[in-house]
Amino acid sequence: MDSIEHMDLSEVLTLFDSSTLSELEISCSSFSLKLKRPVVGEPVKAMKQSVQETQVKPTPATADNTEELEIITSPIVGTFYLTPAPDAPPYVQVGSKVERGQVLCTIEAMKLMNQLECEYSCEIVEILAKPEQLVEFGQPLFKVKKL
Amino acid sequence: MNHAQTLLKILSANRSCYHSGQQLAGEMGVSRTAVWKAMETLRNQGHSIEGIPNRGYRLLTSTLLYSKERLESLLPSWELHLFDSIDSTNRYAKSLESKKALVLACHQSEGRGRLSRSFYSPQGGLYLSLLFPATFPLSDASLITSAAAVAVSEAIEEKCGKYCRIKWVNDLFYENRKVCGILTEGVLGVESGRLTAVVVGIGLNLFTKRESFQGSLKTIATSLYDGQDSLPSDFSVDDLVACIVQTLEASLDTLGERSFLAAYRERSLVLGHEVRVLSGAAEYVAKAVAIDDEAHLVVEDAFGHQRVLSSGEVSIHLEV
Repeated sequence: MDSIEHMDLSEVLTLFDSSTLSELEISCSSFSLKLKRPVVGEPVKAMKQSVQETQVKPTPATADNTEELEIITSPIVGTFYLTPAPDAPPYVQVGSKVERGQVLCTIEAMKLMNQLECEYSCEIVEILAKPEQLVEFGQPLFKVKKL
Repeated sequence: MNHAQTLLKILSANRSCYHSGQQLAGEMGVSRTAVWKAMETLRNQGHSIEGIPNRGYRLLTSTLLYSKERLESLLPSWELHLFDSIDSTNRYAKSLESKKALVLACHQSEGRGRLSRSFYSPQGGLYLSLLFPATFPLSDASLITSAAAVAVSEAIEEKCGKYCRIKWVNDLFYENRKVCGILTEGVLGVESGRLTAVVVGIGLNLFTKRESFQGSLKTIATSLYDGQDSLPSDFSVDDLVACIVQTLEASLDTLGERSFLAAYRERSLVLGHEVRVLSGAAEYVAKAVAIDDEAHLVVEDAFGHQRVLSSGEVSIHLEV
């Protein structure tokens, strides 16, 4: 790696992968790169990248807007929780690949803790509701890409 | 029945005398090593067993014993999962494939309340989770917790002759202290927008020694009976469990009729009282004036403005 402008992306990814860093951000005149490790144990994923130089190998962006995206809405009125407990890691975050039957969030109504289960495999593109806030019936919660 | 359960039955049948290892092995029809292993299992489950060389073993703490046979005959349509000790009955119930099941334990090592808050679950408590298919429409689902609170109170009144009041939404209070917590969890499908299964978890301090509630629990928690010695001689845990399950089941079958609401209002600890409402960062004092047909609490502030409380971010404190 001679200079930042001419670095090899695969080398950066390997370095990041073997490091204990949870986040890495590099920007220079020609591009910017942001790497984030979602949950310990999950593979490293390029979260956002804008590439202008041809020497840098591009990786596909997480959200491809040309593909069809689904909106998951709230089936009930209640309080929206992204984590099973206040200090626990979230059920999902942007970029998470969700299996069929996996829990996306909890919506609480009158102390009934409803775990919202996804009935198909998908990737979380965007989280549309704020944690610990009241959500209405039909309010968009997640933007997802079906897999 | 596994060796640990057999051993527990023998030890609890006669607590006053020591049982030698050899005698126990004979009674159980197993090797002394197997007895020793069962002893370790019981100790790991939280039972205190005294062991004195040349005399034998003795069970020290009170251990709640239900009879599997009796529960089976009282609750024939339920699949029973009985434990001396378990991490969490709700967690176990949620992992089951069955449609309708009852999970019962005398002790929980990781008892959990709402948002995974710890729920102190010592010996002397009754910890049960009911898994059942959700047959009612989603619009009625938020009534489950209030209906469950009424059902448990009524079963306690019938089998123990003790009157519990309900602190909105679903905490049971006995003599102004919390005696029972209920955690209800539902599984909702994204596409169907329907509840597929519901688990109602009930943690009842049945005969925990009241002095054993320490720290922050000291002034807020109590038990129905102060120690096992205080239980009436004709008391049957099985009857109480069966009564809770049957009352709850009947109540859920008619959830949409809202017939439980009259008892819910009558048992309310907050109706007519000043309450402190914590809603996010805001906090205000108001008077609890009504419980509407959705079991929501209607409060009126000092300016006469009414608000309908329904959601989890609201926490009610009684003004003492």
